[in-house]
Parts: sequence; structure tokens; C-alpha cells
Amino acid sequence: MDKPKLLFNLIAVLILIIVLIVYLILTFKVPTVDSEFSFERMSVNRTNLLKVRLLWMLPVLFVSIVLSIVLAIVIEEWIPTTNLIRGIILPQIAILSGIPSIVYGILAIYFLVFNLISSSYTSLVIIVFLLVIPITTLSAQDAIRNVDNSIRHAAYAVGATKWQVIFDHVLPLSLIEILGGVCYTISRALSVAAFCILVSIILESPINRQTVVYIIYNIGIILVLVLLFSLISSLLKQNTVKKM
Amino acid sequence: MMDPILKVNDLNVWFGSRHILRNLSFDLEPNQVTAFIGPSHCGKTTVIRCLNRLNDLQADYRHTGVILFNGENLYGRKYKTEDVARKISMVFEKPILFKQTIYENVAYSAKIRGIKQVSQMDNIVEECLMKAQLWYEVQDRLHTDPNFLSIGQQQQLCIARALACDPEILIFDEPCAQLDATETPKLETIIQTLKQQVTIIFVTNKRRQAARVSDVAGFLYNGELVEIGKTEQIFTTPTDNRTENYVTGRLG
Repeated sequence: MDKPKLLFNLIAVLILIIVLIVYLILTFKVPTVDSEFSFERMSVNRTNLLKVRLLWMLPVLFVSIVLSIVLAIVIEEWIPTTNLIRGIILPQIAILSGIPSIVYGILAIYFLVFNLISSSYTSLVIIVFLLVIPITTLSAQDAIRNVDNSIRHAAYAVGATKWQVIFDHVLPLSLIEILGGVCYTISRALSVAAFCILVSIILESPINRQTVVYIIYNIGIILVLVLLFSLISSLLKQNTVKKM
Repeated sequence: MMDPILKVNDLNVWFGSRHILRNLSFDLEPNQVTAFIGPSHCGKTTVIRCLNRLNDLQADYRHTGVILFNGENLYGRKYKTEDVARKISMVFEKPILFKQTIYENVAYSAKIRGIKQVSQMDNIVEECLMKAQLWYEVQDRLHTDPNFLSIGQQQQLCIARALACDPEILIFDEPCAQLDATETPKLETIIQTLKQQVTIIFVTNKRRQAARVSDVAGFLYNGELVEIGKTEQIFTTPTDNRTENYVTGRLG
């Protein structure tokens, strides 16, 4: 990438971060620290956290995965490589996908605990979108780019329209690799959910033997799922050969 | 003299700032084999990709000049890109096959032009494989992976696939570049028999092959169409010095 574009992107990211920080400062209610500090006085919305269940996540997850695959197709098939929009969007996606998932977990806790956003579902949607879309888009883009251009040309040469080329050739050939990326993001999202659930249980109930068993049981199930999905994802990604 | 099926008038092509083709003008008559010869990087592939609008896929492509196909502007409102590609189909240098069975590869182009009936589809597949002289070799394994065929057979399958979209012009872009000495003559005979049904444009950088196969030959050099005419005339009494140099082997 040439220098002006890089500079432009850095400035864009900086502006985003500044806007976010200003928003957080404006809306953040600083708890007065005194001897009677408690979550009650911070107006913690405890039920918010418990509402966030894995089941709630599924539709959002589904929508965001579909959205990011569509985004990847649009970027790869419609926006030419020399386009300015591509030079602006792609680095942002790359930057967002590089953020460790625990950051999103902490962000989720902030959103939910301190009621930064009134509805818990909205904050869930925002976090899942931030968590899922960049990485799935990036991996789907890679998968689509891996489909050899000659296949596209051959399909165009027998009179296929753009849609037919995408649905008959590009997507079937890149599907496995896209699925690999999807499994990877699901495992990431699940691990964030595990973190949130852990925090919610700790906030909700006193720590005793029973709670610890409950935590181990719940988190354990999720961790097994996380491991399973990352295993599937690495298997899928390993099995993709150069498509021709 | 018959009406030309394709008239190219003053065609100029740029990719970005590179001027690839300069002032090309030629007519193609139906049911003839036209060969474009010339050294590599002289714009042969660009010419034929202008004719079936595959160049539209390149972002920085632009052209001036008019291409008339059956009297209608090829880049005009009457033809969509996919219609053009269907009418003017193409066989590539490498045999590019879809990841499907032999049958599906051929049936795909028929499916694209809207044929749904299974019996009709079967007929088309058989007919096209017959025309590509591949039917007797693959009729008992139509539903297997085409990657087990030899390169020459794969190229024949590509020809069958191109024929299944019922083209008026069939373009061959160096079809024999990857074939060996025994498969090349077979492909040449296929081209010779096909010219009764379709007009054929043939691109090659093998002089002798062009002399064997074509009726009309055009010599391209550095993006200019130096000379176009009957093959015998081009290869025996060329008018331009550069053509003579190329045909006799002193150039390129």
C-alpha cells in the first residue's frame, strides 16, 4: 500500500478510537469510591448479563456470518483492486480482525454492566458483529480469491452471468474454506460468551462450592465446544488445496 | 462474396495507459477459419477477448472503434455481455474444466441458455461430444471426473462445452499449446470439420499450424494488424516486409 493511503487509514482509525473514547467518557458514570462501595450503588443491571444466553446469540451470529460472506463476495467480485473504497475498507477489516477476542469480552462486560447502551440485545448485536464480521470476511475473502481466475473466465466464456459464476462455481469451490473461517469465528464468539457468563455468575451469586461446580460445568461445556469448532476449522482449512 | 459475420473497424485498445492494439480493421466471413499469427505479446489474445467481451472483466480496459456482429454493435445496447459470450464462445489455451462430471461440464452451457428438459439435454451433450470427436471415448463414463482424461481429451471436452452454448463464432486461443504431436493433428481435423457449422477464429504462434488449418490469416505485430488475407497469399506472396520476415522465420 502506498503512503498516503496508509496515512489516511491510520487517521481514520484514530478518529474512530477518539470518538469511542469520548463517547465512553461522556456516558460513563464514575462511581464514588467510599467505604460502602457496592454494585447496587453503581446501578448494575444484573439481569442484563443473565439474559445473554448462547441461544440469544445464535440468530445474531447467523445474520453476521451471512452478512460477512456477502461482504466478502461484494469486495472480491465487484470492487476492482484499484478502487479507492477497497483501499479504505480492507485495512479497517484487517485491523479489527487483529484485536484479541478478550478485548471484545471486556467491552461486552462494560456495555452490559454499566448500561452504556440501554438494551442488552443491542450491545450483544454490536459485540457479535464486531467480533464476527471482520474475521469471517477476511477468511471468506481469502477463500474466494483462491478460486482460480481461469474458472471464472471459462464460465463467462460459455455465457454465464456474474450471479451464475458466483453461485455455480466460485461459492461451491470456496465453500469449505469459508466454512473453516466460520467455525473459527464461532469458536472465538463462544469463548467470549464463556467469559461473559463467568463474570455474570460471579456477579450474581456468592462464591461457594456449589457456584464453583456450576461455573466449571457451564464453562466446561462451552470450552469443549470452542475446542471442537477450532479443531473443525483447522481441519477444514488444512484440506483446502489450490482450486483449479 | 458473403456478408461478413463480424466487422471490426478502427479498433484501439488500452489497458490503463498502455496502448495495446492500434487501428485494427478487418472483416470475417462466415464458415471460415481465420488465424491470427504473430510473436507473443503482440496482442493476439487481446483481439479475441475484445470480440467476446471477456476484456470487460479487466477494470482498466477501454477501447475505441466499432465491432459489428451480424450488423449490430457488439458493445451496443442490443447485446448483453453474457449473450455475446454465448454467441462467440471460446476455448482457452489450457483446458479449464469445472469441478463436475464430464456430462455436467457439457450440460452446463446448455443449462445456461435455458434448456431444462433432460432428454433434450442428453441429445445436446451427445451431439456436442460427437462433434468434438470425444463421444466414443467417454460414452461409458459420462458421469466421472474429467480430470482423468488426457490433456488432449480435456481440450476436446472444452470444445464440446463451447459448442453446447450454440455459438456462431468459436474462438480458439492457442488450443494446441499444451498438446503433443499426436494430439495436435486430431484437434486440427476437429477444427476443419467444425468450420461447416461455425465460424472459427484461431490464434496461434505456430506458423505452420496456421498455414495448415486456416483459410484466412492475419499477421499481428506490436499491436498492429500488419496484413490480413488468404492464407496462401500471406504465406507465399506477402505484401508487407514484416510479414515476409515472420513467415520465412527471420522475425519472431
